[in-house]
Amino acid sequence: MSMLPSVQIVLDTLARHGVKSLLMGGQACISHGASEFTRDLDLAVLADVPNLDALANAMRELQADVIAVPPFQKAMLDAGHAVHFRCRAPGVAGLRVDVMSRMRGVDPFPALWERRTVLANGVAVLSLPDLVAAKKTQRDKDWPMLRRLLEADYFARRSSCNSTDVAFWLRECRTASLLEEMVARFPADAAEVTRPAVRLARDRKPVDQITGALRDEEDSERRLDTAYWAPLKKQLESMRARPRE
Amino acid sequence: MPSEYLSAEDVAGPEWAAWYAMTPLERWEASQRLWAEYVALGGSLEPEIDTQSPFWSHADLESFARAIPMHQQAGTTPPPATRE
Repeated sequence: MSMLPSVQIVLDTLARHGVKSLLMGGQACISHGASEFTRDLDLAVLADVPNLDALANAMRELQADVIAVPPFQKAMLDAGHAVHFRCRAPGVAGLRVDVMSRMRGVDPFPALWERRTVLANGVAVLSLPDLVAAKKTQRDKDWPMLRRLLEADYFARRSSCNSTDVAFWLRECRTASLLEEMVARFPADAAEVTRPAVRLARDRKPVDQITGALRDEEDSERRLDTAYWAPLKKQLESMRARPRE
Repeated sequence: MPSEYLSAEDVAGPEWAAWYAMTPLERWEASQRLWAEYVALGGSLEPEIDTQSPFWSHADLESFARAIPMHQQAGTTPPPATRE
């Protein structure tokens, strides 16, 4: 697989040090069917002491500095913060690597690891359902991405799907016309679903009503994400206010 | 696939339909080709400012925004325009 050399160097270094990590963010979205022009590398990592020691060793080899806040500490990752690195080693100089361990609405890392998607080159990526959960944020740019991720998966696998796939699509699809198709194709599965957008599609309501229900879902998730981050942002502001040691 | 079902082109247009039809490997490779062009043009490695990100802070800008064009870095190939 031809990858950006600097990204490959980072991934190879992490693998050589035995770091348990999963690609997420824009790189994962690309592999799962959406598209985001991403300039950094976002990783979910297991925040136990041996793995963080391995990550620290890998980052030393990459001559990575922690930039801004928070510091690279287990407690920060456990709290849900992202730690930001910038690499300085030849071949990766300037590359940003952001690591997180805990995300809102997303299972703990061991479950993510069990469900991981492995690309043809062996790179481990967050599974699609976990990526979808992680992308339900307060940011505008994540919501069109969610729609694309679900569309790509549905079109790729609708002719050979199982009940788990159908349940996932009915739960997460964000395209009104596809929800209409799904309730027609999978009426027994759709009958069990209480999601308002699916109910409206099942009742053959106009597409703008279905779209409105999808928008309500989005608004609700964005509010939840904003509330989730409020105390974390206060912690970050407090850390920024402290004089640098 | 029965014809009454929607096509990816119907739902998302031809460009997205073509993107959806690729394998994960093909999508990654296509993305990396675009990235290589971007880097060759001197594009920054710094993430775009995202004021909606919970990580974003004006106070961090100085630290986050020291962009290093890829072609100015050790171990990378200069952009085609500068090769003689």
